[in-house]
Amino acid sequence: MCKLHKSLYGLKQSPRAWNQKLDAFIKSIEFMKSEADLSVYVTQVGDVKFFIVVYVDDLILVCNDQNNFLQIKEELSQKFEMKDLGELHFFLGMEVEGIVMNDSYASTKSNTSRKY
Amino acid sequence: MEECKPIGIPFDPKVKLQRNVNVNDESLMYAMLCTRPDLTYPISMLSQHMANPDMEHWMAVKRIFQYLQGMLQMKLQFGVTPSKEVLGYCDVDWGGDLGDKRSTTRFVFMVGGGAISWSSKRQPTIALSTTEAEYMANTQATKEAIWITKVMMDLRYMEEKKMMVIRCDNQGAISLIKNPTHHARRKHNDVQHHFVREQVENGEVRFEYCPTEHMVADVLTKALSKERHHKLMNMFELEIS
Repeated sequence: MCKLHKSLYGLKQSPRAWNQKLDAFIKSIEFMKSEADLSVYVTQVGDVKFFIVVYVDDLILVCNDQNNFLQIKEELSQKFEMKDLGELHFFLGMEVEGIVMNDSYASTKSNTSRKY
Repeated sequence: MEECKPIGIPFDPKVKLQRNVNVNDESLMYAMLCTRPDLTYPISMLSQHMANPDMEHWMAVKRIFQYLQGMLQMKLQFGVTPSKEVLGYCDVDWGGDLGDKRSTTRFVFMVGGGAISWSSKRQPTIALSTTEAEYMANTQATKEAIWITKVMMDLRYMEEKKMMVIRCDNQGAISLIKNPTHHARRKHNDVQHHFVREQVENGEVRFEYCPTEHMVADVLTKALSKERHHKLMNMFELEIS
């Protein structure tokens, strides 16, 4: 029997270990975890709102301020190996179009059902 | 099914499915849960017949695909209506189940005109009247409303807690909620259904009358005519643009 010092890929505990690590990091950069939806993290400084939506290791970052956005993205990519897939188009089978994120919260979603 | 003929409504109003009835509707279910509230009713009906399906059910599944073929471009839109308020609609289909005569609860919540949460679910107990069915449905909608309020608070969408308005087309149920008196006819109602009264007293939600004609949630429990189906879908900004 061996005792592991860190998480091993493929063990049933590894998703949990991953989430704990990600959760701890996001919280360490001043984000609050939403109690109503545990995969959403929020922070607000003045008028600037920043949201992070987590689906296992896929993250959606939403912010109404460009500088803040880039800063947080940089912080995340320094900690984790990440790829920036650009503007949100697809998430969990949902197609997303035309997000406007300044004062209004307008966004459009559609679903190409053909895939299912 | 990619070459099928497009069709206007997802469920034939003349068809009533009998219990008897494996239709693989998982993929449809996923679409319904994500962005297609218009499929809620047909999928909830079909899911009830997964155990022993026959030709009729298969035809119904094919019809949904035909409908989707015509509505591929349909999308949910948010922010079309400038209002930031969250509005709920709650309704029932009394005794809608042919087998055991249970009613179906349906509700939909909207922000800025677009639907964010919807459900169509057969009630666990038999309701003796439409009022009773609606009363039970209102309890379910209230539970969802409280959760949505929490999410909105967490997302900083609302600065302070606001009372959420839920529209309901049954005056009897509304009076029952507003006036919490004991009544012989209400004696048998399970304790859980009185949850809604407590929440109204606490100021979490408020129920408002809405004529059936404007009841958006209608599309979630009934197979409607093409005209009405599309009118209601427009009301929650599910449209082709």
